[in-house]
Amino acid sequence: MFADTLTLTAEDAESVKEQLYQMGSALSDLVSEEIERFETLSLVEGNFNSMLAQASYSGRFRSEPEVSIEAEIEKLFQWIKEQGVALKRIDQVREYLLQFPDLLDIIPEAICSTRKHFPEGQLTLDIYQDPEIEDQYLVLYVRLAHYDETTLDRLQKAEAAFLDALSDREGWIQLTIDFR
Amino acid sequence: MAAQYKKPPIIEALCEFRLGQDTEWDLTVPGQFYERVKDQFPHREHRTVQVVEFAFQPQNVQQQIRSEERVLLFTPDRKALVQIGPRLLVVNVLKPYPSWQRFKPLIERAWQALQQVITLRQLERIGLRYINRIEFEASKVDLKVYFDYYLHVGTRLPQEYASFAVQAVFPFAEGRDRCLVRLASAESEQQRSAVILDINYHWARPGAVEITRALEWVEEAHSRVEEVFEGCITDEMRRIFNS
Repeated sequence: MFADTLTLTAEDAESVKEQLYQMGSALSDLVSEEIERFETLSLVEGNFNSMLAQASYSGRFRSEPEVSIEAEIEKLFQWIKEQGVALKRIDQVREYLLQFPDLLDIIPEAICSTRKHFPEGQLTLDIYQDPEIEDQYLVLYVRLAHYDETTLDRLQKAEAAFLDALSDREGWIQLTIDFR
Repeated sequence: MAAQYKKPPIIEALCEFRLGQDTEWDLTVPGQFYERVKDQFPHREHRTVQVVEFAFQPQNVQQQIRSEERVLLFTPDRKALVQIGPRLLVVNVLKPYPSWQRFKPLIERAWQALQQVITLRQLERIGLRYINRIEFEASKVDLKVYFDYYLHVGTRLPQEYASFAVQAVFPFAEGRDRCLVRLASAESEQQRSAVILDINYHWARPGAVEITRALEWVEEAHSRVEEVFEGCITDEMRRIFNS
């Protein structure tokens, strides 16, 4: 999903360093584009400007991945809202993710894939609770103004992007069409 | 927390041990660790996390993004877990908070199991973190009624804000330790509001305490976290926690 290594030219590097020494400055487009993608999908803690600044002084910097489940959930919720995805029954979704944190890295993939195949759709993340048995799972609804013969095919393609990754997880997220 | 509240706001507490980069670590460590704790943490899962590294060299900047495997070991009720990854050990407990008397033995167990499977040379950091989630029935809340640590907004600024975050790092133990305290708005159901009070007490520098005294430090850290928590809230907040 991500480029393994990004090497900047000496000129780029000097430019980035110069900006960092002045603090608070914008990163070069080359760096920021890659970082934005990484930051969005990995939801890693930290301000990349300050990380780079630290690297420029000490020569090296390594990010510390988040170790709190709750903090990851909060960041995920913020990211979901920034993506224009509606969140329903937030408290129950949070409870579910606290119980099944192995879904935390799947949800951004599911949303990005669904957005790619349904750019015009309204997405909603909710939780389904079976009224008869003790079973619940997350549901990502896609609501469209018009449905046609391509809808089901697009749904399957969107789902294919994350279905394999779900196979060894304890939690579950279902992508479905909201026909209401 | 020392003050036993009827409705404690702790949603998660965790203790993390980050090992020095010179600690030998291979792919068999999580499996060996699991064998030693599986009676208490039988459910094994895994996650992939992204790590980014920057290295400034004379002629260029190298940015490396790579994936790291982290193994998660859950108790049968999924209310406590151990995360183990490259040079990292974390013990998390989720709400309802089981009390320090029950959380501490989990930390001790995991720490001792880790020492049985690897040789520890240096610790980069130990941290004890308590995350409190406080919910209010109203969509607007006057923070200073409930908190003694809050955002002050001057009269010349708009008095309403969509979200906020207040963060400070306090030095402790003559600079050996630091406590990062963050109060921030959180996502909540409509017509309600919620804040997160995140108290993260950790070493200020690598190797701050000898490895043999790690658990002593954790006990001391817990006392400091309690003091900081009590320092952040008002009596009105205490009344709500006890109602």
